Amino acid sequence: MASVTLSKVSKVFAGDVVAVKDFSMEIRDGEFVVLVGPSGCGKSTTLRMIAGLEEMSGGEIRIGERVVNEVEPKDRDIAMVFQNYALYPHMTVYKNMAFGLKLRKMPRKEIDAKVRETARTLGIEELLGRKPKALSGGQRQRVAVGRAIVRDPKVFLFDEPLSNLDAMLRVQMRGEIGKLHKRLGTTMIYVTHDQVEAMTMGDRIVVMLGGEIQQISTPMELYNKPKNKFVAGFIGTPPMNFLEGELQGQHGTLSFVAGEGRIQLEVDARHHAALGRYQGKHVTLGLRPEAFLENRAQQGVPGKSLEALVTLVEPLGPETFLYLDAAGQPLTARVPGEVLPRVQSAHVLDVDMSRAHYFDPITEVAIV
Amino acid sequence: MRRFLTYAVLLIWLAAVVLPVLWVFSNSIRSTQEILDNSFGVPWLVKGSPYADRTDVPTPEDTAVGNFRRAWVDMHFRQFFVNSVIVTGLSLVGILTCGTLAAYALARFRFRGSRALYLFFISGMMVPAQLILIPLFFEFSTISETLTVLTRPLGYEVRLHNSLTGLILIYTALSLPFTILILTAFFRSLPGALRESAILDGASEWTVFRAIMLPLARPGLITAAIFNFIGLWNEYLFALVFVNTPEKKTLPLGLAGVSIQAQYKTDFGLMFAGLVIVLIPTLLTYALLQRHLTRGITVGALKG
Repeated sequence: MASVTLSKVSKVFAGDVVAVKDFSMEIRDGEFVVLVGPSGCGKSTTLRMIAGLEEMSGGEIRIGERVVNEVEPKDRDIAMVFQNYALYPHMTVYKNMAFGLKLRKMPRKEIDAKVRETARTLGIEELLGRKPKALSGGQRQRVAVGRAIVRDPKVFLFDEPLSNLDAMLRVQMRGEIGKLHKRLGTTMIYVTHDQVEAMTMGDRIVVMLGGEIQQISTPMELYNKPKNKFVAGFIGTPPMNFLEGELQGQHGTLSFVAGEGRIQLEVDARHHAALGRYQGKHVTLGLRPEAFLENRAQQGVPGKSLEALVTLVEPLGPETFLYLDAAGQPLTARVPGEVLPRVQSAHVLDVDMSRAHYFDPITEVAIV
Repeated sequence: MRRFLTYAVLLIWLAAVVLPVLWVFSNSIRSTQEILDNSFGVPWLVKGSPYADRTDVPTPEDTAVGNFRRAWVDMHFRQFFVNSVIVTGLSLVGILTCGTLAAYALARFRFRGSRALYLFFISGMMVPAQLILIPLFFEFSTISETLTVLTRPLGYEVRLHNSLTGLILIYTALSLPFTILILTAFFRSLPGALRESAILDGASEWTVFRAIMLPLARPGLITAAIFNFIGLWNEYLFALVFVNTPEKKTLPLGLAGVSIQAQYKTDFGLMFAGLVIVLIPTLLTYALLQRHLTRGITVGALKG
């Protein structure tokens, strides 16, 4: 087991394409860190640089105390699970798992014991004699994980390992990898574009965009205190709503005004101080779908609620997603399951402004 | 109707391919007289000879065996066959060894000039073999002389003319462009993640090549081997120019020799028997390896 330290790691591809820029982070021993972001954000490149499959353009990577910049991938003591599993198609599951051990000159008996033990813990014992093409997607996934853990590496790298599985299996494997991490206690670095995977699996999450780290936080902190508009919009489903408007102050109160006055929401008193210098200026208001509360009476209270046109209703059972049009700006609200307004009707929702987020409309950095 | 047409076309195709082969096989067990009577008839060996009661006419059995014996022994097809096996076999070894190594490197690694090198190899296919025949002949003389001068103190004499070694070198060189083309395409089709996975498992580049890529490239190797085998087994022009003594001749030259002799005395039975001797290895190769031509074993490497 080992920590992984990246200092100012960068990668520039041919043609001056910057894939990763000044990536610095310390991953603690035994930690489960998830790199998440849209495709092309540099998360896989970062992982591949840790693995040694991609040369670095700058910076330093340490595994444990050792600088591994110049260390061959095979000597870094890491194992990686690939998105397409990369099982050797001409070898049986057993040989797939034994391959790395054999190359490390482990005695045959020891290999056999290790492979069988690992297969048992993953429940793939009966597959040992089969070739990859005779396995289902979930089984291949499990074999790929087995091949990684059989070597007892210091660090596990996962490159979108679940994205080829169907939704049900993905949820199941998510849980299994989580359990595996608890059992092995090994450092794991996991790349995904799926923010649900990131939220449910990671001890800490690194959100990336355009090759740069946007935020490194625990899942809950990421959700509750996003550092900028991108992170706020990326984490959470349905995503956070953003309303463009202006902060207007009148006799000691501060209000967010948008849609030529048709939307007027009083800013929570706790946010006043931080927003003071934005008085009279444009801001972006961020409201998560659950910041909207059902107004039973359908009676708007000035400054505390808003009225919007229902454009789509998605009943999910325990809750309903309402897609609305508020003075020309689209909104999504999460309301109790029994709330089922008619499409094209006007609907009044209370807004919990204590849960509001504010962003600078130009820099997109969170104000509060 | 469409189905019917498809089958009709396929049947015609099948007949066009199979009937000549059957015709050759059938005539290889017949006497010249029998062939001249009706070359499309059923062999006497099958339906019974009309001269069964005469002792001055050989029996169909003797005719059949005699055709092959004359070809194999008297016409030296045994020697030609051995020469052909040596030349084709060693050429294939050379072609596949150089071809796989070059193709793998060109398919997997980007290095300065890799693209140019690939195009250089492939451009070899644009040069017609006939064009280089004469220059190569003289070049071989020069090379032979130079090498002989160099190796004389060691007691060797290097001869590329009228030698199987020379023929093997030519065949190998001429076949490489095509082989590299198809093998490069094949190696490119193998997922790169397999290499990375093996490298993380602790494999060296050589181990990746030998233990992962080579077994997966088997269908490609077999395809290349079959195509080259057929081309080289039947190669006539270069053999004719570069080989002139009977003991170095290959089967196509031997077969031509029979037909040249036929100017004076036509022995059709013998000719057909010779043809069969040439044909059998090709047919066997197809029969044994054709399933590999179509089988893709990378299925299952990636998501299914």
